[in-house]
Amino acid sequence: MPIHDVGYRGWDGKRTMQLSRWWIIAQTGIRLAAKSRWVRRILFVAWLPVMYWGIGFFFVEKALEADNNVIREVTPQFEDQLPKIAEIERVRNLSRTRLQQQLRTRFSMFPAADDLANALESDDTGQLRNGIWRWLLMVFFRYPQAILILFLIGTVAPSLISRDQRSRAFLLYFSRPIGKFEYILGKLCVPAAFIMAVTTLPALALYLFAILMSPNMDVFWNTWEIPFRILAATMTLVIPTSALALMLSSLTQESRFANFSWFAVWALGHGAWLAIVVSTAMRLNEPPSAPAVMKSTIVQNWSSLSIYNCLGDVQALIFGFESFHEVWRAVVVLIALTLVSLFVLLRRVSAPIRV
Amino acid sequence: MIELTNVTKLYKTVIGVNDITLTLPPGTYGLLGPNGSGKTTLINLILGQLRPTIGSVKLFGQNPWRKSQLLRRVGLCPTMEVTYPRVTGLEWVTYMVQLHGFSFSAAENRAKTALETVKLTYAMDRPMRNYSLGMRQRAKIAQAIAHDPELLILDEPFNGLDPVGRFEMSEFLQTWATEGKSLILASHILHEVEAVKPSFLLISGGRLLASGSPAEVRDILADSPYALTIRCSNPKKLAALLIDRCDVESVKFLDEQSFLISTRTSSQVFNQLPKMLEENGISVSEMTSSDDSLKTLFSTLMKLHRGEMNQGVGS
Repeated sequence: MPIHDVGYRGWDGKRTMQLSRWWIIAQTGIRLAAKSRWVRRILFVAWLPVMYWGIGFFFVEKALEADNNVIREVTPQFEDQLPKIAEIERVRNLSRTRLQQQLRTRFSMFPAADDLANALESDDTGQLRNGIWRWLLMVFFRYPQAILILFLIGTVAPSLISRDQRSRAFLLYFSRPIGKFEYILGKLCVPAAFIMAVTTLPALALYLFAILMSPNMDVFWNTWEIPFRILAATMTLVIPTSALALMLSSLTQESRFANFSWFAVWALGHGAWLAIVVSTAMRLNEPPSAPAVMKSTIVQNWSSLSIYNCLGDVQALIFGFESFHEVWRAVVVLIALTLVSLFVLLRRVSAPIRV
Repeated sequence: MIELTNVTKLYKTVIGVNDITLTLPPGTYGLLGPNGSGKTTLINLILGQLRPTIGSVKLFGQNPWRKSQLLRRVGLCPTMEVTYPRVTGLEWVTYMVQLHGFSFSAAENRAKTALETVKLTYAMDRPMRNYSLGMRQRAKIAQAIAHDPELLILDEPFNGLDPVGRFEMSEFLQTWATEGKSLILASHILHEVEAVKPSFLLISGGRLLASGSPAEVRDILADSPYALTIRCSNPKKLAALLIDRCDVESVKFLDEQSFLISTRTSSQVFNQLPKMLEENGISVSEMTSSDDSLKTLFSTLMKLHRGEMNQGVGS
C-alpha cells in the first residue's frame, strides 16, 4: 500500500517576473491616488488649458495658410466641427502680420517670442510651422502645466512613502520577493504617471490635433521630431520632481510635513530669485519684467535658485530655444537635485526596519 | 528550516541580537520575550532584511540576505497599522498577493480563500478604515497566508482580538500547524502562545535564554518565586496549614476573607492545597496569581543565568 505525502506542497505555478513587480506597486498607487477627489479636480483643471492651446494651434494654422486657397476649403469643415469657436471669422482674416503683432505685444513676456515673431518673415512655411508648434508646446509645458503639476504632485506624492513609514508597511513589502529598487521605481511611477497625464498626453493630443488640421501630410515630415521633444520635456519634468517629492515623503511619517516641504522648496527658491529680480530692477530703475533686468548677469546667474526656472530653461533647450551653454547651470542643478533625492530616498528605504 | 550560527546583530553600539545559535526544524515555535528583547530583529534576520554583524543565518538551507526569492515560501504578519484605510480588505489582500507574483485573477481568488479562512468574508468589500482592530488583525493574517507559505511568521497576532477572536485565532493556528506547515509566533503573552502548543524560544536582551517544550517551561515556572492570593472561608486556618506543610516565604492577610502567600515551591502548594481544603472543610471562592506569568518566567531565567538559582532549564 503506497504511503502518500500529505505534508506541505508549495505552489509551483507560473509567477510574474520579479522585475515587473514595480508595475503592481505603481498601478495600485495610481489607482489609490486617483480615488482622491482633489486629485480628480486638479486633473480636470489641468486639461482646461489644452482647449486654449487647441485654439492657438488652430489660429496659427489659419495664419500660415491664409495666403493659400486651401484655407477656403478647410475652414467650413472646422466650422462644423467647432461651432463654438466664436472667433472663427477672425481666424480667416488672421495674417502672418497680425500673428507677428500678437507675439510682440501679448506674448512678449514669454521666452523666445521676439525671435519667433522675426522668423515669421521667412517664406519657408514648413520650418516656420515647426518653430511655432515647438514654441506653443514649450509655453504649454512651462506655464500652465508646470504650475498645475506643482499642485498635483503636492497632493499625490507626500503620502506615498510617509504612509508606509507610519504604518511600518516596509516589512510587508520587503517580506515579499521585492527589492528596494522595485519598491522605489513603483512609487516613482505614481507621480510620474500623473505628470504625464497632464503634460505628455495633452501635448501629444495637441500635436495630433495640429497634424489633423494641417493641409497635407508634408506637415508631419516637417514636425516629426516634436513628439520626441515632448517626451524629453516630460522626462525633464518627471525625473527631478518625482525624486524630490518622494524624498520629502520618505523623510517624515506625516504626509502633511512632506506636503509643506514640497511647496516650501519651490516657493523659497523662486521667492529668493524674485527678490534678486526686484532688487536688480530697483538698481537699474526699470520694471522687473524689463529685458534689461531679466537679461542682467546677476538675474541670469541666480536663476538656478528656482527649480521652476531650471525646469523651464532645460525645456527651452529641449524645444530648441536655448543653447546648452546658456542653460548649463539649470542642467547641473536638476541632475544634482535628482541624484541627491534618489540617494536620500534609497537610504531612507533601506534603513533598518523596526516593528 | 532555520539555522542561526553565532548570530549577533549590532545597531552601532546597541546589541539587537547577541550570539544566538539555533536550529529550528519545521514545526511550531513560540518566540517569547518582553518588548525590546530582540524578537523583531531576530525575525528580520531570518527574513534576510538585516544582515548579521557576526555569524550566519540560513533559511531553507540558504542565506536569506538579498535572496528575496526565498520569501515566496514565507508569510509574515507584522505588527503594523492599516496602510490603506480607503481600500477594501479584498483589494488590499489581493494587492499583497500580487506582489508575490500572482496574476490579478489568481491573487483575487487566493485573497478570497484566505479571507474566508480568517472568517472575514462578510466584511471583505468594506473599506478597511471601518474595520475593528480584530478585523484588521484578521486581514493582516489573510495577506500572510493567502499565497500558501511554507513558514508563517506572526508578530503579536492576538493583539486587539476579543475572547472569541482569540479562540478562533488559536484554533486557526493549531489547524495551520497540523497541516504540515511551520509557524513562528512572536508574543509577550505566554498563555496566548501556549494555546497553540508550540516549542518555546525565550529571548531577552537579545539573548536566547531558553528553548523547550511547554512542559519544560511550566517546570521552570513551577519552582520560581510565586505570589498567590487566596479568598476562602477560613483564611487563618488555611494560611497556618500552608506554613506548616509547604515552603512558604511570607503570608500577608489582605482582609478577613483573603490572604497573599509567597512561595518558591508553587508546585508543592498546588499539590497540597486540595488535600488541605478537603480535610479541613475549607471552601475557596477565588484564587489568583498576582504575577504575570511571562514576567515571572523571565525573572527566573535571568536569575538562572546569573547563577542566583540552581534549577536546570530546558536547554
